[in-house]
Amino acid sequence: MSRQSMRANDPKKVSGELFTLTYGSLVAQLLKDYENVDDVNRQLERMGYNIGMRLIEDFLARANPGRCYDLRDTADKIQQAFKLYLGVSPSIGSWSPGGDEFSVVMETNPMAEFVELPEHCLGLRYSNILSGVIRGACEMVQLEVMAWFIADQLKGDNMTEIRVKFVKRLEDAIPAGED
Amino acid sequence: MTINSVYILSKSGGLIYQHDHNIPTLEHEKTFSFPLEIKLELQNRNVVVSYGQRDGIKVGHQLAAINGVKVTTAQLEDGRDAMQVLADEANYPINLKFTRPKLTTNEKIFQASMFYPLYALASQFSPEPKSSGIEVLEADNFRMNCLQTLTGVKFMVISDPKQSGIDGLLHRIYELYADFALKNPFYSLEMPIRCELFDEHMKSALEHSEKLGISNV
Amino acid sequence: MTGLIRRTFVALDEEIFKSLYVALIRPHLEYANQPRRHCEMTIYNLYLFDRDGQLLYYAEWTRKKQSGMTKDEEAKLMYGMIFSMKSFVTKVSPVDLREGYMSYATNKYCLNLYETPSKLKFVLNTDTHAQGIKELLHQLYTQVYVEYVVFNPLCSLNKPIESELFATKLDEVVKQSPAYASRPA
Repeated sequence: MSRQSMRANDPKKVSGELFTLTYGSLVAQLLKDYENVDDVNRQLERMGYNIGMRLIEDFLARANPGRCYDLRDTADKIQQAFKLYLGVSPSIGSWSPGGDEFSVVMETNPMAEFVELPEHCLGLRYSNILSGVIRGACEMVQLEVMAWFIADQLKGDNMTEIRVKFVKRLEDAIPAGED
Repeated sequence: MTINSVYILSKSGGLIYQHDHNIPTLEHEKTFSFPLEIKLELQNRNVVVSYGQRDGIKVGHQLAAINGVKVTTAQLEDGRDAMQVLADEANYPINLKFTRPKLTTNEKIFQASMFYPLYALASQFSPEPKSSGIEVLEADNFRMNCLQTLTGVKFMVISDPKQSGIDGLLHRIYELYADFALKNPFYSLEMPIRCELFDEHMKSALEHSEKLGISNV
Repeated sequence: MTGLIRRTFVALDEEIFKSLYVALIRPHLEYANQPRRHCEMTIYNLYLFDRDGQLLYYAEWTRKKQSGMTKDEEAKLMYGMIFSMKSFVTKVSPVDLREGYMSYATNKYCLNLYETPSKLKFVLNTDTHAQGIKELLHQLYTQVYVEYVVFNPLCSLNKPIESELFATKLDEVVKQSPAYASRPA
């Protein structure tokens, strides 16, 4: 309980810069280890996915938001979570006509504050971990989604944009032996 | 105060009486343009909303009509397949009506027979010795009270969680059962109860309970 | 039962029902007092299932009767039961359900089911008079599960929980809860 209350009073226990530096060296190390930009992108996404699966529980526990029945709700919650965990307020927009796709747009990306992409890895999606987090978190609440970057300030775009697409609802697991 | 429905289960778990007293109808109509903003899927041959709740149309609601033409088991009254109609852009804008699915008689029988093992398991899982089965089942917006008689007949009443006096009502129903079903020489045990007198008294007992929030026992 | 009456009468116009209230409260109180004499207040046991129906954790405090099966069988059967119960409740419900919490009571105990949107299921058996169980279960989720399992990178999310810290913390929170403490000495 002591940890809970500490967190509530002091949401920023770790310096933001330490976080961006940690993430930066993680990405740099991955690049050294894999020597292939695509592999790194994939690894980042997978790490994000694992984070998302855990982070969602914290989000549910803290915000107690209730279940989403519409993608607009979901988009709202994602916006809320960005604010909670990254300290930025992204805007939600560019809905597809079928209402099953939207964009999360960030004016600034706190994760990429000090980053300049070197020439040889222009294909790197530096913050790809975020798309993984979104996918992992949604999967835990029975939503299969796809998430990917379509614009990145690191590549000269004027904002960072993540596209999220609804794939399907996942069903409850039924007990073994029943069908 | 609302009492929604009454179920009576025989000793062997069969549904022998069911009466819907007060079931709210939930219907929502909306005109959609292409592409459709809600996700639909087929469940048990019905078109059901799976995601994309809006304007009162909720996940789990069933497609009831397209442009005023009734839809049953994913088919329009004129024989067209509902999913195909929905997939064709030429049919838009389209007016769709959704309702919360009501239980069919078969489903009621099925659900009743499902309650039977639940009742028995609840007793088996008891952390205290000699527990009865489920007496009250409460979810966030309805409550089910169950009375099992010594002879193994179960009376179940589904009501608003705020409704009081259900225990009295259950006993009243038990009395009615004894009076108008069992004392009727043409009623055979374990068979569905089809007696007008029973129906009538049941209705007035339910209305009475609703009005007072408690039965007259 | 008394809680029930309180809830009911908050919703009603007290002026009109004043006289009725006096007439009603007595028999209900008598009814409510009856079982109270026989059973003491307590929390019996807890099952925690993950989204696939696997038993993540089991704990018991004052359970008096075992079901006579192995823990494994019991867990499977328990999950099967709450699964059917959920389906039964959604089907039988006269109105649209908000998901999350349901409970049933027999004459001896009360089973409370709390399901998080991520489909973790907490099943807690208490005596029939315990109050505030929904809040307790939410507390177990936010202050014990999230803190000591989700944030513990060494704890796998889809394996039974072996963390001792989790067990200690869980025990602590349950024993501090009024439902546990209200047990007469």
